Amino acid sequence: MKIRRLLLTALAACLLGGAAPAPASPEADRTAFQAFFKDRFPQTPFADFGNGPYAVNAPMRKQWEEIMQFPPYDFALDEGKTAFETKFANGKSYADCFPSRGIGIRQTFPYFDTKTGEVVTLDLAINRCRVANGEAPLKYQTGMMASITAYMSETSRGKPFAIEIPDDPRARAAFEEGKKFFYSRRGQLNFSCASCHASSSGQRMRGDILAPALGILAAFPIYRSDWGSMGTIDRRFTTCSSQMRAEPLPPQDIRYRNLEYFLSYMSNGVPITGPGTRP
Amino acid sequence: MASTIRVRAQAGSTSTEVQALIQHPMDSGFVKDSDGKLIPPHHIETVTFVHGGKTVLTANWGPAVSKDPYIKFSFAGGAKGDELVVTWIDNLGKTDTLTAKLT
Amino acid sequence: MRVLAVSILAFGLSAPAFAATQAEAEMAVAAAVKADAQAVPGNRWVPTVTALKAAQKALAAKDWDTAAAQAALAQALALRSVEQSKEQETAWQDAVIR
Repeated sequence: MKIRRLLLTALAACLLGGAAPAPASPEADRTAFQAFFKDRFPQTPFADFGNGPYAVNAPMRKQWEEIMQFPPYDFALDEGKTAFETKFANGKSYADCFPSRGIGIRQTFPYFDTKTGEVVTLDLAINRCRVANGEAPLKYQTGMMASITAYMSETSRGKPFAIEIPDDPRARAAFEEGKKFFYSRRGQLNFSCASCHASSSGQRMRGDILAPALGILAAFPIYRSDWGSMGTIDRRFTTCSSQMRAEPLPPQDIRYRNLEYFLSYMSNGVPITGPGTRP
Repeated sequence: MASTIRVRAQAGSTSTEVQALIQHPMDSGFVKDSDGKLIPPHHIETVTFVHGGKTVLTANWGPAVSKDPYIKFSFAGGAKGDELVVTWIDNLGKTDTLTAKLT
Repeated sequence: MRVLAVSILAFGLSAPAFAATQAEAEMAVAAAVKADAQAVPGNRWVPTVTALKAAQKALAAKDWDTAAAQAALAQALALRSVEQSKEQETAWQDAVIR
């Protein structure tokens, strides 16, 4: 009798405790997230998740391997390397703004800047470096910004994502904001990022295969055949928003940066595969 | 300025496999820009691959070929160290050329 | 589907049943602008913006019928987007991978 009462009380508590559960720790979130995708795609090695649709669809992978013999991002990569190594008018260069002279660090972005209390992405850091050295900021989404981030990504190819959430309530809040954005439905089509990249990942949306959210940022910036040009994470976030018929936010809007923070942390351990190419 | 042509040519025992990626807008002349104006045609018309003084491939391209075209083909013969000269000419008379060594 | 139903209803009610007067058109556009302002920045829908712009353009061209119809559509879409944002404030939790 006592046990039955206990069970009934527990059941009642569960049913009545309708308030949102306290957020699990980011590590618990990440473990659950990664387990979800490992279960959904048992044939895909963990390290392959940075290859998006090619990691979960064999015929697409075959086409991709052909294209990768001569990657379409080659031109941007060369342009980016040259730009990265060119000194600013004041004699300094990008290498002076970043740890390790900017080589092999892409996998640590974005990071939470405890001094300014905000998430800093690689693109933002590049422009802050330019402005601090008297240069005009670059436009986001494509062009030279994509070329420079392509070069910096290339120097990190194969290194696993290593995003940190410092012991700071603001960092935690930024992470939680990014998480909320990922799971919130938006736009006239009423989709969330999760609708396509979690629950429908691996399935088709018209002619495309939906990439799993795990590792989805690892290949950026990408040469997307659809665009016929390079695009950064911003470019994809803004175009995805429009595709859901939600007005896109400006590039590097804090909500996009928080989303990038969440997605990157969820992908900790997945090697950088950028710059990449996509259909 | 960096070349618009990337070439990889691998000499096998009886034939050579060539891959080339060319940077070019390949505007067909049928596409409109965001203001509604037609983007004028600007596309490669011919690409030639010359090995040992002999043209091993002539490609006649046009508006149907997309931006930054990629081509892959094989020709008989060729040995490591040989030279392969790749040249393209577009409808505006612009041109570029690159000499690559077979590997 | 609800959006479609509401927007068709709104369009149907406002359009050919009567010829809209200038005052009615202006009121409709004002209501649409107000509703649009409520749409949480970051969840303004693209079709809301399109309809609102069309309404304002029609108003400037003194096309009262079109202005009223497009404004009603814009308002309906804007209000639905505001509802969506409110719902999602809590609904997103259900989707979290745990």
